[in-house]
Amino acid sequence: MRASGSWKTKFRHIFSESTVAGPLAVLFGIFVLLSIFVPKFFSFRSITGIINASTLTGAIAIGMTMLMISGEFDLSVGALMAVGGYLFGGLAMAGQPLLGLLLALVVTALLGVINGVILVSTGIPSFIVTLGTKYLYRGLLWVITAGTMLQTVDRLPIYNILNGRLEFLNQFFKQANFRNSLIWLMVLVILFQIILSRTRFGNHVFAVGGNAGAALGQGVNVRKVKILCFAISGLMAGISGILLFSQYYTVRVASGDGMDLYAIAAAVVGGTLITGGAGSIWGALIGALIISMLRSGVVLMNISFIPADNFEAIVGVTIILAAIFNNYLRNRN
Amino acid sequence: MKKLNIVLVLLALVCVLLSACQATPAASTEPAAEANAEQSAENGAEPIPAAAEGSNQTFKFVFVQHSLCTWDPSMCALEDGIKTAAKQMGVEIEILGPEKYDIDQTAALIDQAAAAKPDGLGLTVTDPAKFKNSIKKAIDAGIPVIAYAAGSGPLVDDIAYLTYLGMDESQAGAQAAAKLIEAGAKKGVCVNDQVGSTAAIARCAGFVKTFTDKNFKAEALEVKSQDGKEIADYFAANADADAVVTVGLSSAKAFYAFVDSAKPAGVKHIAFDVDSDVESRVKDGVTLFAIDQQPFMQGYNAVMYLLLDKNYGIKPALPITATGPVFLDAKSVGVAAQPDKPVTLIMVQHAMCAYDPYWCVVQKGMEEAAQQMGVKLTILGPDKFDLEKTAALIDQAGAAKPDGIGLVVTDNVLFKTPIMKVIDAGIPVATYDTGLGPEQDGIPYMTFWGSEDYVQGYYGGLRMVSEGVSRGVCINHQVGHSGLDARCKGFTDALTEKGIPAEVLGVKGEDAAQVQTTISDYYTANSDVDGYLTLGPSGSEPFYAFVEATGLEPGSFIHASFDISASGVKAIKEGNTSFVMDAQPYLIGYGTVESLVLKIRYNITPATGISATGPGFVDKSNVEIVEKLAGTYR
Repeated sequence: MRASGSWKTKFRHIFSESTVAGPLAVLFGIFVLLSIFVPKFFSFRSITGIINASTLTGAIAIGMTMLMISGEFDLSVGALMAVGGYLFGGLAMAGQPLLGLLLALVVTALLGVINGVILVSTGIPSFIVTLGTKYLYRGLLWVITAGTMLQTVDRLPIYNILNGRLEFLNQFFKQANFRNSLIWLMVLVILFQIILSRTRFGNHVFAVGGNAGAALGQGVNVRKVKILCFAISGLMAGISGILLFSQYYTVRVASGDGMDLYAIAAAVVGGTLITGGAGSIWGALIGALIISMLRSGVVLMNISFIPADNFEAIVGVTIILAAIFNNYLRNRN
Repeated sequence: MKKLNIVLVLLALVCVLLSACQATPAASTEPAAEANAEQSAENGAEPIPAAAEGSNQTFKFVFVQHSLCTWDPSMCALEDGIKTAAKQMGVEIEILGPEKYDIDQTAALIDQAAAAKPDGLGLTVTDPAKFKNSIKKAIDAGIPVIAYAAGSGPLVDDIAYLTYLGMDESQAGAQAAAKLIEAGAKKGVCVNDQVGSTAAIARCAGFVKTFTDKNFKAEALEVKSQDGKEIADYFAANADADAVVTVGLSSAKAFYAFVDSAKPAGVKHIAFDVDSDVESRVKDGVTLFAIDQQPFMQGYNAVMYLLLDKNYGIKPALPITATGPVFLDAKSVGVAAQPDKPVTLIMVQHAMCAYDPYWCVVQKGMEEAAQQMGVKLTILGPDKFDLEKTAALIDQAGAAKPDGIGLVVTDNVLFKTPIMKVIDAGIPVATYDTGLGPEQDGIPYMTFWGSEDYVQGYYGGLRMVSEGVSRGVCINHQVGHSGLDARCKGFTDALTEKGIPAEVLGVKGEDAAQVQTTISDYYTANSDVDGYLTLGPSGSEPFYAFVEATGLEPGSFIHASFDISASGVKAIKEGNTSFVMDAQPYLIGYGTVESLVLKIRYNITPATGISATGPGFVDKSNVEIVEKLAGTYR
């Protein structure tokens, strides 16, 4: 009795202390269920496909999570992803890939800063500010590019470094399609998780999101924290655009449309609170994986009365259930 | 935990270093095919350059017909069209035919013409079975072939020529029957003096079927002479017959001989083909309508399409490019041609080449057509997308009273009033690029030059079937977009008609990684699917990534897509894509000018409300030309 009580206590302790335990349990549970009941799910082709589908969203979700923990949203990330893709792709095609890389990162971060400055200067909710800048940035992009799709057939080495096939890994697993973007994503997740959980800035992010007034009273520069979080959000969107162009050699003005909501969904499914003050980068990655896994599972199930173009409904239901589950765990503990 | 993070970071860095050391594929030296925007100072009008660009090569085309103008007057207008087009377009031509109606000799002439290796071959497919091998030899030798005046289209004839310029004979017969029934007819007869001609047989078949479908009686009557006695005998035995259609000028002569001698009361008549005799009978009321398949247009367009194919890889969109039927009544028959009439045209569009590179290609087509046909052309458009301004420009164009106007119907409600003012002023109007056709737009302009999404999807599907698809999927990257939905519908309908399973896979086009994974999952769950249609680069790029990741070999699947792109061109060359379809914007511009000029100078009316420019197929046969000309002529 004592032993099982201690196991239950340990289990409860894990779930109460860890923000990722719940989402991880959900991820594991869905993975097991799909592996058992869905034909051909448990294959390296499917699994690496799920991972690859999560990388672009996952990169954006990192920045979105930081921002949501601080109590804000950024709906302009999709547009910034397209901006990053055009800057990198355009300059790479002109023979200046490194300059393109630098500009894509700097410009998208700066555009994120603009979001933050408007927010802190005007006090308008971030939802509204970034809703406006979403159309502004995409509209400017349309004007500058004349709506022209950017595409290349040249295969520069930098594309391979950024998002080429990870052949040294693929050779060991039949039909696997691991890509370098996985590496970059893991580096970013680890980096930003460390920043969030081990640095003063990270503490400030939680504090501002938990109670901005109290944080201000404690001497936290709330405005600076928020602006920085917006800059990170923009930067991550730019990285996502760079990875997009590196893999598909194409970017359109409409690229990234809708990514904002997917990133928010990934963050929420991964345990980040909409109200701010709680969340984790690992959780966001797990959330992106859960959504991608469900989507793949529905397609693989080949259910005749659920046409493949209706699987978004399944994903929508799951997002709600995951959020309820996370909320239950949090309240219970 | 901290140590674990450090270990993970180090591991990640090692992986990055390893991946950077992987052998990278050699960079392709092919330039990206991007459209280049032309920047030109304009105040809404773009004057036409003195000489348009184009190919400097002089081509030679040979035309083989089952009859010649020298002994068959019905071919004179057609040969006139060929000669006029050849002169305007700078093409050398030769017209061959037997000395009398002789199918075997005609087949021999096709062999002779093909052996001379002309740059293009036009011919009448009077007997597809007899001509098939000869035509196929020419096609296999790389000679573009076009059919006119006789034939049923490449699909029905089972010969892969570009298109048939003429009319759907069966449909024309059916329409003639419908008009006679509308006029009160109850028993019809189709008089056929061209025994063995598939066109004549089809005309009668369509005619008879329409009557019988409406529970009336009808039959075909073969005649051998032009004296009208066989027709008189028929009417003696069938006193209740009250409607006649004659399949050609000779059978019309026979009917008129009968009418002049027997003077039958209450017999309604429609005549296929037009000459002065038929014209006068229409004006006198003996003949209700003359059906014109506009042979001048057949000849003219035969030269035009062969030249567009040779120069720019532009092909006719549909298996049958209708030149008729056009029903001429007393008002419209016998209008004299004015081939040297000076013509001024104004085009009004909602965007311009100066800021939208797509329109540069459309305008290129207009400019070249104007230059070849010797007409003055002005193109108007707002300095940015502005529907109100565009509508005002239509008014402005109408006020200038040009001989003809081409315009876009971007908003059929807002534009209706200014367009109707132009039409009511008697100025011929053709529309292009944006519009739904006169019926759907509710505006009675002549025709719309552009492409219909459903039609493109349908013919794309048929072509994939012909290439051996056994199960197909249409990957729609924007479900709910009416145009894309229509493309998929056309595709699935085409496959379903042929008994091949097909469905739609909806994906979110803005997230390429997700699209690729969904396609991969779909393939995993449905590995018997071997036909993939993507609707544009948003679908095709992730599809190519899926093929590369999965290691599928060219030939193990059939892929087609829409809209030309650099990667699409590359994929065609590598065999990963069978063909790409586009709306052929050059043809949109060229065709609009051409149809207005033919109307103004020759009273030739487009036969259909929609003059399809797409699907234009880009495949291995023309990808080299298309690649060179992307953004300019394609």
